Amino acid sequence: MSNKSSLKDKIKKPNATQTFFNSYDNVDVKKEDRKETEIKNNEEDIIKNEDEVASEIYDMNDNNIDNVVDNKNNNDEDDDYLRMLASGNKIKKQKKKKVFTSFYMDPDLAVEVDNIASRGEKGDKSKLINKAIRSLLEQYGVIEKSR
Amino acid sequence: MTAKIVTFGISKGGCSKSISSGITSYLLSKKERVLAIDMDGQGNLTSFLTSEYDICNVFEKRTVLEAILDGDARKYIIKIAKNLDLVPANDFLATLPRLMYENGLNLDALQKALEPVMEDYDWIIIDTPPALSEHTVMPLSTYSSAGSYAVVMFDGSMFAYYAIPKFLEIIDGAKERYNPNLGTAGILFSLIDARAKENEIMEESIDEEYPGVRFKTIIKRKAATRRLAITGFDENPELKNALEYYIPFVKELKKRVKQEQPQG
Ligand SMILES: Nc1ncnc2c1ncn2[C@@H]1O[C@H](COP(=O)(O)OP(=O)(O)OP(=O)(O)O)[C@@H](O)[C@H]1O
Ligand SMILES: [Mg+2]
Repeated sequence: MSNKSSLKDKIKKPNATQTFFNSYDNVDVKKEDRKETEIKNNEEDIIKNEDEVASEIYDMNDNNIDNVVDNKNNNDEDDDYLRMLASGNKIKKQKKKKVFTSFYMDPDLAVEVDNIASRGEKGDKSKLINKAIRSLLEQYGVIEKSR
Repeated sequence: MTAKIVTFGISKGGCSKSISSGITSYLLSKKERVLAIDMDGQGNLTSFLTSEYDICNVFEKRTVLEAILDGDARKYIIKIAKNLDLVPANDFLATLPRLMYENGLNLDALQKALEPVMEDYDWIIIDTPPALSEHTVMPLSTYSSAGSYAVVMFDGSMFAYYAIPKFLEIIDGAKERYNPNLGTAGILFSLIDARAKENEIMEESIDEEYPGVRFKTIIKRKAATRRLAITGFDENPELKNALEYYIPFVKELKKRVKQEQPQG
């Protein structure tokens, strides 16, 4: 019990700096929105362009999601996506939002995590930490088990 | 040689960011090639280095704002002295966040604008405004393979003392998101009144809180330093006096950024 609440304490409210950086996480999404509106305005080959945009967006998200965070949510989304695709409807998928936070790590853990992350690419450190905390919180019953 | 980047900052006004970044640029340019960049719409660094105060007219549409929007700084570089160049700023820099948003630019926009000139200089020295904004965050987010550093300005006041951890947070954020190479060169005491009783306590507090981070050199308040903005560097009979504390500071800065070689 005390474990649970101390963990919750560690999930801090973002400060001004974190909020500032987080506000830029939407820039890419907004860029995509704009792209889509531009295409909509261009009446010529609407259908073809929309398809292109949709699959582009989907590919980007696919890369982002990766096998590591392959949880229930994503499966549902994949399902929806395919259903839309089959029915010939327009597809719009939201990019998964991340929040920026900071915390203190035990030095031995920090070294190992950096070692692992240095072999991967941008974002892998976050993926690892997310996976670890997700499985711990599942174990504690704080969040629902994926799949 | 690829340029080392040094950003002067603190989210507290009047801590001598502009004067210190200007003098540092001047001193480094005696032996190496320096590009100074003004990221503050007040344009104090611009005026300090050019002696021009009518910055809105003189540098109209020829500032760092346009350099960032163009994604290439080359057209906006002004020659100041043999080895010293400047990308100026004026009041229109206030429109930067809005224009970045409209153009879908991210916090790596300054990085992109500077990439074409990275090899042309040994140092890129950047002055920032006293605020958490794009103007401050983008310089800190600018990566260089030769290293990228922040100098945290501190005037010994209570307000600045509490601005330090916040500025260090900005450094951490930029490092995490955009610039893993970023390091803190140190906390620089400046504008220190020789007679203030609390100086020693402030030094001890900083040393306890941030061991080894403080520059050993302390820039004391000096009338000759203040007058530099009027008299300029050329043919200034009191120049030596005005730069007294900055000469050891620049030496220390060079040593610090050479020692801690950033990891790839
Ligand atoms: N060592 C010094 N001795 C005396 N006066 C100084 C010294 N350093 C700076 N000043 C003066 O202190 C004032 C504030 O300095 P400066 O404008 O460089 O601060 P700043 O941190 O850039 O301010 P801002 O936050 O508004 O950008 C200026 O009038 C400047 O001339
Ligand atoms: Mg200033």
